Amino acid sequence: MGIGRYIAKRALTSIITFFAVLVLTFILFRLLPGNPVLLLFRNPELTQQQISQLSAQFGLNKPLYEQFILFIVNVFRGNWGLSFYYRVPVTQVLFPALLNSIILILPSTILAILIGVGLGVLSGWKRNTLTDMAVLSSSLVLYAIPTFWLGILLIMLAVRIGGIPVSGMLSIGVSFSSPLQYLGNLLRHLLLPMITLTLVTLGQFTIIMRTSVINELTEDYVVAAYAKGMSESRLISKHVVPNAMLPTVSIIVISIGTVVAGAVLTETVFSWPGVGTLIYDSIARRDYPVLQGAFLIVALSVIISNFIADLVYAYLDPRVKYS
Amino acid sequence: MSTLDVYDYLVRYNSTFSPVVPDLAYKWEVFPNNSAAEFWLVRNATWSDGVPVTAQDVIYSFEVANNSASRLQPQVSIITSIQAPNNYTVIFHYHPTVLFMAYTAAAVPIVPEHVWIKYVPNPSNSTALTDYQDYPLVSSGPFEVTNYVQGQYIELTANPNYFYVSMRPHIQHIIVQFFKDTNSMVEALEAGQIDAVAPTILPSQVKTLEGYPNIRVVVEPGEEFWYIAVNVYPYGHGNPTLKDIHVRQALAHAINYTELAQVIWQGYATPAGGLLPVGNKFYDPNLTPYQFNLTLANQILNDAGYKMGPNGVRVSPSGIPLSYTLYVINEAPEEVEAANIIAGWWSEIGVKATVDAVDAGTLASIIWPNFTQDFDLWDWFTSPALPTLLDVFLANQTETGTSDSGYNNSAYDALYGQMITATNYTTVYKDAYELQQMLYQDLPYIMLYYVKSIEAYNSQAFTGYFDNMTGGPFSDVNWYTFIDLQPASTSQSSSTTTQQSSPTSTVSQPTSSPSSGPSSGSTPSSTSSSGISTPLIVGVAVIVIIVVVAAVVLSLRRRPTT
Repeated sequence: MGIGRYIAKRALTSIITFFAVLVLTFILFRLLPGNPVLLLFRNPELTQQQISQLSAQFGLNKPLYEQFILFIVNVFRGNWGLSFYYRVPVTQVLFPALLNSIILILPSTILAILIGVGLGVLSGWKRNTLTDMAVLSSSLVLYAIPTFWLGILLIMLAVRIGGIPVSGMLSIGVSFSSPLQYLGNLLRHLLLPMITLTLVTLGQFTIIMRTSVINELTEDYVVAAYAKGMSESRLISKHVVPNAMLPTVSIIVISIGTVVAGAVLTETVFSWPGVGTLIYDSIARRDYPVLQGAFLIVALSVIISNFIADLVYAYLDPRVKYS
Repeated sequence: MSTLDVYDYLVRYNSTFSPVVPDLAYKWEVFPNNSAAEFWLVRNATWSDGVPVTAQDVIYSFEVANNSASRLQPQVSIITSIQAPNNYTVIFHYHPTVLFMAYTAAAVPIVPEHVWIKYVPNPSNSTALTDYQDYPLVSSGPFEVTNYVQGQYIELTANPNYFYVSMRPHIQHIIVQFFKDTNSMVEALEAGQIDAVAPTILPSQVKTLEGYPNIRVVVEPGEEFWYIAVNVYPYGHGNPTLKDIHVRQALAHAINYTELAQVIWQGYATPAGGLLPVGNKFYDPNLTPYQFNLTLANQILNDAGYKMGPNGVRVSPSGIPLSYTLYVINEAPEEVEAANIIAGWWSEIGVKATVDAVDAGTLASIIWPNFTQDFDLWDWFTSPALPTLLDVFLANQTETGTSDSGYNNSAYDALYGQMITATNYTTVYKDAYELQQMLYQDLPYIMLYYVKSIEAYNSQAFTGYFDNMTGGPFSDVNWYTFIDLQPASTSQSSSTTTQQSSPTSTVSQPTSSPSSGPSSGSTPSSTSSSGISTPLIVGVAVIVIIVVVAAVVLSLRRRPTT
């Protein structure tokens, strides 16, 4: 099978998946018990007439299949509806939150990947030594630490040190005289949440990388190369790591794909106005339009990154194309 | 709170919740028949865009409040007509009631007709009203909203032209920042990054704050209470044994309210008797919590013929076991614990209660419209000024999704009607007490406790917090704090070294919507250095009052009742 056909096949699968996600998204939120109108307007003085009027206004009184057709048509028109809760177009709520999340999560994920993969290689290379034990156990501990706890711990630390903002994205009410000042302020606010998020996510990369490095190290070609007298560092960097990266690639790409899903816990601890908390709040409020929008974006992003992972895989491992 | 400080009203509540403080109306007169009132408006009030405030704005505001999409509609629906004989006089005619001033006149913020009419030309068009964002916001009150970012913060700036000179704010900017997590919020207060926290922090956080000499913790009666609603709906599908008053009495006697308040709220809650909490004007001190007495509870059940079954669960004379599901809102972990403790006491009288923690949406769908639940443990927030939460028990509230007990008592309905149409306060009080008495005896709710409001602020940064009020300095009825705040001048000089220039902040409760929408509009003028030097004390005052409005918590746990 040629590379062209391979790509086409993968693309088709991705599109089908996307449609399945569309249908699921719609059904899923309608299955949640609870009526958004009753939740939003919970007021002992609301009359039955007011309730039906509000339902009509939100289109909740139409039959489900009609709501579904409307939903599909509108998704492709770029009309994602009005948020029940905020009463503004979904895109106006969703996109700023998405951007905020990406600002926090993308650098953290990249940092976690770099540090995690590095530590994994080190640990696999020096397996069963003190270094390995130290790296492995600290990775496991970090992976298992509750985000909330770590976040609060860092906040307490920052409070003792002083000068490090512990909440929000920017100092509120300050007008910045230059873009540089703005950036500086943002970076200071980014510090704690980024450290938290990096620490709690890097463990998974370390562990996977370590395992696959150890796997590679037991391969015959490694023994042969070693016997030939190839230096250990050259062996690791030129032969072992590229091969060991294969299983890690998929988890890396998917991690990057889920950047748009936000990080609920970190965002909550640091009051970071991201998409994770938006999704969480919207579930509680039964804000279907926002949820649908958010899930579509997350799904789209994961599907696209999977597609990319497939391509990268095919490039890294030519055998894939023939399978 | 910010609505109160941004918009003007005809009149305002004083600190004991009587509608007697002049605002846009400098003088008013209620006609002796209690069905009409005349208001004389000040002539020097202007909107933030310079246009004068007139009687037309008042009429328009009350018309908008009567829109079906408005939370205020029930409160203004008693009005039959409004006239403006001239630009500065307004006359209301309404169905007779002495509550008009407190319930209606003091409830409606006056909005600018000339701005709103462009978007909501017909005040009764509900679609136009819901879609209107009201931002940038034109207002006439002591503060203006100068910046607003959804879910993050609101910046208020003092209105230099405020007509009511004695009510002009002393500080230039107040920022209300919203936190998602109370622990982070309290840490930010400790770090000096914010100056106050509200609306309610947890008892466990009070201890930490006590270690800081500059932080003052204020504990006042709150607006929230927790209860167990019993499904007594005649057409409901819960366990039918709960319709027997003996069972409800036994259950009420099998809860140790004092211990519960101590264990769950570490004393920051008062064991409850009547429906309206301590701090509400219509709180009835004669209704004390049911006495905790397991022997008595067992006795009641024995006498009513509920025999102990083989597995320790009693069975009704007709063979139905006293085995129930106790739903509790899962957003409040401490209340889930309370439910478990209560289930423990109940098991000692042969009642089995399985605790099930669910989210508000799920619980609502279990209760309405079919009433399939046995119990729900939930909370209400209620304005301290009014007895109108009593309407939750009206028979017609079962369909609208507010009555979670399904209480159905025509005598109660009639008495409620009498209360809200009474033409003197003696009757209102008498009826409010009598209604609470009926609930206390009939037990559609087993009242648990009234939660106190715990708020805190850095007393070395600012002074003038108006503490002594139900709900504390930052409650949704306290409009004094923001106006009275001033820099704590002595210590200010020593602590200003940290050039923390964040302005101030308050809470906007999601009641009547003053503002919502994307940010933009005028930029705040505060800079970190002393740039603006207002005639007021220290140039830019720096206060950050922080409020956790965990939006989830607010929208689900708190059910404001205006």
